[in-house]
Amino acid sequence: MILAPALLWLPLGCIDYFVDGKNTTISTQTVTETFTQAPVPGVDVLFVIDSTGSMAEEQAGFGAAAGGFVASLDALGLDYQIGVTSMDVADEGALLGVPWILTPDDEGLAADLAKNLAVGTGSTPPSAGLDAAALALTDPLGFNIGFRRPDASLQVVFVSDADDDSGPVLGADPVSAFEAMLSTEASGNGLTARASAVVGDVPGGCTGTSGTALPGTRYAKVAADSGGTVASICAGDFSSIAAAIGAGSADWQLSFPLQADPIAGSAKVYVNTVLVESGWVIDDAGPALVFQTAPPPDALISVTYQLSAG
Amino acid sequence: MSALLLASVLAAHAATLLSGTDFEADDGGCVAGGETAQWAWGAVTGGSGSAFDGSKAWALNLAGGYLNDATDTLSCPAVDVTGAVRPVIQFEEWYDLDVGDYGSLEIGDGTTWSPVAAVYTGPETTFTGSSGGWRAASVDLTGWTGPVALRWVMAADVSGVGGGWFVDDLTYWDGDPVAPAILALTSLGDTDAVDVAREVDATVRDDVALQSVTLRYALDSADPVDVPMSHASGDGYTAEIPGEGPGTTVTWEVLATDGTNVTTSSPQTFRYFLEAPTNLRLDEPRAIGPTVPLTWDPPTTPHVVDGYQVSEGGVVVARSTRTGAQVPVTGGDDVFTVAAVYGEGAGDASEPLTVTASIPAVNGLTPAEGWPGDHLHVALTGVSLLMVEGAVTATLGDGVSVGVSVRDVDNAVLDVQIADAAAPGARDLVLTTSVGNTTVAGAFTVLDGTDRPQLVAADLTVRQGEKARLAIGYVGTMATTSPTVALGDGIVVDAVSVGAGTLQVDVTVAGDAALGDRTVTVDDGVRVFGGVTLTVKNSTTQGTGHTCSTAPGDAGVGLGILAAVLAFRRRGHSSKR
Repeated sequence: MILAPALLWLPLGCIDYFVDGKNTTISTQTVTETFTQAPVPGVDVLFVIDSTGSMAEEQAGFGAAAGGFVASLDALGLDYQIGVTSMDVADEGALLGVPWILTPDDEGLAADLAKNLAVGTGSTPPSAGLDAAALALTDPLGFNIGFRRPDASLQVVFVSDADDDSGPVLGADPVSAFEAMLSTEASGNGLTARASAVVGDVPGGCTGTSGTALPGTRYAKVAADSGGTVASICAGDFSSIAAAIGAGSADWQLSFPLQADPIAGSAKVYVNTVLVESGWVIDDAGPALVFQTAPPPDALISVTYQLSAG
Repeated sequence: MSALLLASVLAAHAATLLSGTDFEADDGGCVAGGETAQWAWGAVTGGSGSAFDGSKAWALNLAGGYLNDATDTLSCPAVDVTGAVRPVIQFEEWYDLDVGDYGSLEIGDGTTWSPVAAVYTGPETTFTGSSGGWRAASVDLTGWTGPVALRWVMAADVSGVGGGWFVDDLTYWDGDPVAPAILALTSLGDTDAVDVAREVDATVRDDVALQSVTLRYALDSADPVDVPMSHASGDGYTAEIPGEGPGTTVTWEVLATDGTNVTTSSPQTFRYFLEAPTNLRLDEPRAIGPTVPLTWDPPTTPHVVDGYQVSEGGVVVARSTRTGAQVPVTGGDDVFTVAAVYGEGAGDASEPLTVTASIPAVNGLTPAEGWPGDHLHVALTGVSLLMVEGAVTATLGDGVSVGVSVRDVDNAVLDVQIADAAAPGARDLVLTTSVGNTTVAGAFTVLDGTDRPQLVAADLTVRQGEKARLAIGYVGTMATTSPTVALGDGIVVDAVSVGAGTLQVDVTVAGDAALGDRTVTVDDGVRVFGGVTLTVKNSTTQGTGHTCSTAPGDAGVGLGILAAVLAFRRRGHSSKR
């Protein structure tokens, strides 16, 4: 979560006072605290798609949901980059398609993403999504220059109808190794790095219109541990899953901690100097100013409230 | 079929037909016999798949296959060949016999039978394996007089079954209906021995006597040339195809005639060539134009390579004396080949390489112009630029400083500051990224004149500890209704209202705000307006009243006192009084 810096905690005069040069009496105090919403959050989304022979329908289905995924990112106002690689380590983690890094300004973005998501079905099982993702992120061969940005969070989306069979890249415990990689990605810029998994149900697997899927145990664990989305690949319609993953890719700050408890009803909230009379609450437990909808990027947020001087 | 060959074929059948049947109207009077009498006549449904002509024939099994552990015969009625000078029986057959199963032919008077070898297949009288399709078989009856009949004998062992044995178009002739047989023939593959003649050897036999054997060859699409083949020894004949240059395709065949019948071998084709380079590939992880580096492996050849040429669509796009070249790409699918250039000529093209390249391009700058003294935030958009924060530079010429803040691989914001003395005119943008330099001619213009949007000088004064409303004039257009107004430490902007030519700015001045003049800047996201100063003066020190944070007005006092009342410090927050 981005912690927007509070630029100012400013106890100002909204005070009944008398000053004669000797005595000052204060009955109430008005405090203004100021915050700045984070800039447009950047997120780099890496799709890691199973490219074995059983994945044709799933790839097509996910491609059909590409428009919804993009729309969900656009709705959040995110500054995103999207890349797609396969779970075949023979691809060296290279982002596939042309262009291989998709941005909001790309013409035909949804179509390009759908095309890139169709990574093919010519790979031989087993597939190794965690290894492939690690290769894509470390990019030892320089295929993916520019994909990972230092000021962007990370969302890795695994799509497979089988479980991960990594090892050559990440070692004997690929789940722990990949989670450590996510932690490193996150600690590098203070942003989040999470995974999502669209896989066979855990623990029993599942059967859908496109066939049977084995439980995606490893992918689901990485996703759950990192705070990402876990969804069933047996779902007939991936649009809602794609939208949920898109929504889960944002790091917007909704809650802004206050330094004192306001007198009930005394708070006034300004966003970019405009008085906002609804859409927020004062959470006494924090205390904190909590918005229902995140203020826009770089917004100047001011809250003025009264508190007892005693 | 050539007219000459057609005439020859007709001549072959000009031998006198004594008797014959195509087995379409009836079974020809033939009779199945033997242990199971499995020979049958009718429409062919399996095995050969069809009769030789028409739909009907005789077969061990019309659906294909045959019975194991059985010996069966097919006997056809005798034909009287008395008076014939050279009686010959011909028929068409298709067979596929399993190992251990044998077929054979017998002739006789209908009662007594003797094994006989077909023409060109003797002296063995039995056969197995496959005929390789429908083919003509002949039995020479020279010396036979009186009625003569033919019998097919099939002896199958206890296991394994082939596709069967099918017989069609049985004829009796007087004369020479049998064409010569080409029993062996040279096979010529492609060769890099350019300009070297190729020898063709053929083993040819005729059941009576050969008249001539001819090598016929054609170069590319030219008319064919006939060369008489010399008799070597036995049934051997030989001739040469003269050597040709690289890239020449030669199509050839052998024709043998006994004066009545002609046999032509299946046409063969080979090429004279010089080896192509191999492993044509892109020499970088990504194909990023406008040119891309291709490399290849040199050909394995005894010939001297003088150089290489890379082609696209038959057009040479690059030449090189090494195994690599920089080639132009279009941004679509470019299909390249590379060929070695030898002293003898151009070699073969390599396997094609399809390159789908991205072409870096700057779509434009927004805004694309500014005045001397301007400080602008210029949006740069493009495609395939692969911009990486910290690894991108941009220049707009003398007098213009440019900083780059990367948003994503294709988008950045340029912090452009134009010196007061910058020369007006169009400027080229040179963008340097991980994919190289991208130059856009005339991408930005330094305007000529004094119309630079800026703040209008005025008497802007505030006092310590007061809340005030400032009216700041400006000329030009404000790109947003909520510009960022910066007044320096100790002065907080509470609200900004954009009016025509004037900004109303509500501020709160800290009690300890530094006294004196300070610079005022207004950033509307596109341009940083400047040019005026704000003066902070001493606070009022005595009086009574009421002041409130939402009602700017005269100075309140006691703000500093609150710092003593409130002493909140939490992580991530700073405080000012």
